[in-house]
Amino acid sequence: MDDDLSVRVLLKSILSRDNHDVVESADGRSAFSSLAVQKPDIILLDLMLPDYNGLDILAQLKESKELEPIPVIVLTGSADRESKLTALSSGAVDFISKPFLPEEVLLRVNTHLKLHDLIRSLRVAVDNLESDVIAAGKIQNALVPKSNPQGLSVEWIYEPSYRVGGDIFDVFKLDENRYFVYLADMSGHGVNAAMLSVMVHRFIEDFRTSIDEGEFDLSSFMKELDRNFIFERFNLFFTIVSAIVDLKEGFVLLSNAGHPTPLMKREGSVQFLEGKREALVGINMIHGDVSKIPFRNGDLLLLYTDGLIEVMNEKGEMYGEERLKNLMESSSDTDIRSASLNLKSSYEGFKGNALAEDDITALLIEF
Amino acid sequence: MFEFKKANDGIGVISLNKRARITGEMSANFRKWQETVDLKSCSTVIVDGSNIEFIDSMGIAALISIYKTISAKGSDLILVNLSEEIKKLLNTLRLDRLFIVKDCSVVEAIKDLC
Repeated sequence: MDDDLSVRVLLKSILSRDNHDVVESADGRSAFSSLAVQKPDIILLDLMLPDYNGLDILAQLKESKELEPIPVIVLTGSADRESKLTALSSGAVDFISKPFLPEEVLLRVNTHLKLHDLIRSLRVAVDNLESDVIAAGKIQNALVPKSNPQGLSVEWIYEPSYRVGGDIFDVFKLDENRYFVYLADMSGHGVNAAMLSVMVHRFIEDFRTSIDEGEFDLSSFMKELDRNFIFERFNLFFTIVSAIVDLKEGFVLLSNAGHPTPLMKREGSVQFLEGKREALVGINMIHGDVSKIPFRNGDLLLLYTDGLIEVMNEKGEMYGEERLKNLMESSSDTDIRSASLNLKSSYEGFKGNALAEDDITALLIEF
Repeated sequence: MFEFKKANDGIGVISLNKRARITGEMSANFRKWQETVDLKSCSTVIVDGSNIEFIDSMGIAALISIYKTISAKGSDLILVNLSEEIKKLLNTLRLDRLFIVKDCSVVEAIKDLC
């Protein structure tokens, strides 16, 4: 766009020689009519047009959702420093001072076309990646339970730090009185961790269906996980706490492979279930050790991932095990639902506006 | 950020040139970096934890990777100067049974080996 015919002829000749198609406009009105028909790859805009101020045209271009991405190079008089700065801060990508050399015009136009093309490809790639991640998040979310298994009182908090996460859990009924619960945390978070979490979930499903439900043995289950998810296979590891809750006999069988220590609240007092601890999964160090813990009427069991105790506030302090224990001890929640809501508001209040670094999952099980 | 030096008798020493949290992108960089250094030829690898403020699970995975690389030849991974918090984490994961965790300086650890 330039009102000076000689400038338009010169620019057209320079650009056509380099195989660019050029559409000329002598004023703002005809320029916008052309833009309505066809969107160019780049716009060369004179700042002094007879019917419009070039800066107003620039502002109008940048306000339009469709035209905004088109790079604009402004044409200015060499002394017009202020306009150049205003144009650059208003969204122009570059300027060419008159009088110009043909080489300079070609260099600037071609550079910005290349740059614009790269930005466009990058945007497409990021959009594709983003939609893949959203799809992965949906798949992962579909794997965690939607409701309690009949007969067991469970509440959970499940918050990936990104759209997908590295935490996974499940709760299912083994037989009339026994339930199996696990909570696993893959190293890292994001797509790699999410894919591994889906594989772990799938593996556990297969393990469960391959044996008679009454025969589910926690010790063999953990050893089987360790055998199948060796570190070298994915260069990732995971920690897992798994439990069989027996409501008839009143106990929980617990196996903890590198996972944060579960908590048990009984008659107002809270204990860490240290028990026998195994190493993380995948380095061939799981021996099949299982702890047997009494679980009676009114008892509350809390399983959680490290994301919960490592929640950081704006001062860089961690939420920590002690704060969690104190919260459990001090709360006089009468039902498991309010205990879960109370936990969530506690760490969220602690976190304030700090960013969540890790996925947070907590499972509360009440006798 | 990450430095690798060879001391006497093929002992490799990994350290950080300034205090940092090995989390997020830094963990990914640590993982990539350790693949570029010659760990296989080390008789022992010592990680100096004095500048490690905190380490996340990806950072831990990088340590396991170092261990896997050197343990195939029977070499040990020794971690020294770790904060109490990191020692607790290694204990939770039971990695203190896989790696050797020592409360001493790099110089003392090297002296012990020689």
